Amino acid sequence: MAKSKFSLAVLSLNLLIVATVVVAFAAAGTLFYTVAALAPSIEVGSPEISKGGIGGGGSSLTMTLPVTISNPGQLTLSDVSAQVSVKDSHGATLLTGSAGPVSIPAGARNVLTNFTVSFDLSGLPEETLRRLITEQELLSVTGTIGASIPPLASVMGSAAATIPWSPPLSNFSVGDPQFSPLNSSHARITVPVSFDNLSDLLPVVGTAEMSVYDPQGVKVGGGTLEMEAPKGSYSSGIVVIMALPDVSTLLTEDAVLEYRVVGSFSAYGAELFEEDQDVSLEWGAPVKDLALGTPEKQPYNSTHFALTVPVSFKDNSGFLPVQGTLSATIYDSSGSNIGGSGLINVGVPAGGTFSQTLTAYVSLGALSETSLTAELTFDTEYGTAQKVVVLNA
Amino acid sequence: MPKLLDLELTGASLAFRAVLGAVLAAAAFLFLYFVPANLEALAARVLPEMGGTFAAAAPMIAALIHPMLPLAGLLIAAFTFPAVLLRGSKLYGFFVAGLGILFLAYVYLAFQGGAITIAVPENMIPAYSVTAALQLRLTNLMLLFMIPPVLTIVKGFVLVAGKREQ
Repeated sequence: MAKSKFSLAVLSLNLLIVATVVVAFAAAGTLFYTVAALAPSIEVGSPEISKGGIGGGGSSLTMTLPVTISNPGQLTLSDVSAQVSVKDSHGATLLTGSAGPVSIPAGARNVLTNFTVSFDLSGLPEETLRRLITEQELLSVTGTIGASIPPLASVMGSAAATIPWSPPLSNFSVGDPQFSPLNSSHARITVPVSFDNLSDLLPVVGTAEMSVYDPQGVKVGGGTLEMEAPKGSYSSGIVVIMALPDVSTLLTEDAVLEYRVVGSFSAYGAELFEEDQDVSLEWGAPVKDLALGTPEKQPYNSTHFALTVPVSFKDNSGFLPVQGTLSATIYDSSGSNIGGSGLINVGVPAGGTFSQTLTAYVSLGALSETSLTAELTFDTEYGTAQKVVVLNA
Repeated sequence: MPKLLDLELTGASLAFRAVLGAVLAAAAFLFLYFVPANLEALAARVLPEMGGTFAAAAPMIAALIHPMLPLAGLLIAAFTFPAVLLRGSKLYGFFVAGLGILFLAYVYLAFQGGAITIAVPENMIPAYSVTAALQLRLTNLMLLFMIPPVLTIVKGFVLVAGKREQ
């Protein structure tokens, strides 16, 4: 009786052992089949990248990666999720991305989930942004993925990597301003700007602004350069149109004109560079060294004699031609007007010289004067230059 | 008629048991000791021929095997031969219970306590310096596989108790 009781117990245990072994291996087989059938069904589509911008232009980037998964197995796949984040070398989070969690029931086909990564430069602190845009560094990438096949298994994957970051704005430099006159009232300043965009992802979409101030702090000109630079070297110039001082005050004397150039460069929603430098413009007088030579007296008629005097000047401006009329008025030692010349038309190209003989007609009463005074008047389109010269006979 | 402890066996029966015990012990030695103990070397020989990612994955195989697993397999192989040979004897229950305990330990070690962590080799993604790890949680499956060894332990004690009753 006792023996049969134990035999029955052993038989029952044997049956249970066999049954549980079968169940365990069936569960493992089902799990293995589900995983094995799942892996090849995962299809990753083409990433869609949408770029935003600074105030509409270029500072944000969103990548959407469509992933379709089919589950031909017998077990539901649940809590499928993925996260990724990217930090710079100072620990600031630059990028986050996530997908899911989604559940894919057994037998479901082509369940779509999007893995979305957002990269918004304008949301970063300015210091971080400036560093990221201008400096090479190593970024830390961490990612996790997870999924479970309840109640048997779950999987969690994590990865960390360092990837080199190539800045979009490397070797940024502002060159020396180049002056080029436009006309008698305005000049053009070109400020060279160059940099290298080393980034495969981010085009540089930015604005450079320059303003020019005279020594009194009055803004005399300004210019803007809109830049859009994909990967590669970029080189251009900010063109500033600036007002020149009144030429009539600079008609006969060379000068050095002092200005202050203030500039800024903004991109990705932040001001990245400032430029403040003093510049000087060499000014050449359009009527330089206006001079009279040795006068000569010649008979003219019964009331006047002719006084011929060589007149010369140099157009030192280099860019302003001089046109106008030249005349002289002759005074005796008491200051009385005793004669004068007619108008001489003057036309001198920029950088040229003028040399001509001026003839004045002087009253014969002044023939005995040993010294006369000539007042030269030169009317130009820029103003009038006058010069008083003593003529020693 | 040869006598083995309290068993009286015919020569043929003893020979059959010895052969069966040796075959089962050899099978246990092969599958529960030799394969786990040499899995990494086997994978290193097979996976590179598959190329690409599989070649780089060979070192990951080592992470699947708990260092104590081959020892547990070796003990199972060692217990198998006497358990078969002494079936029905007064020690049979102890050997069955012992095998149950060893299988229980084997399952626990095979599943690494239910959480298997695999470090992905850095050279799997050669362009970047990547450290990656996978953690598989298989606790429920492990518990399911632990039921037969537990029942085997119970069976062993029932056999011991049954022998004592006689």
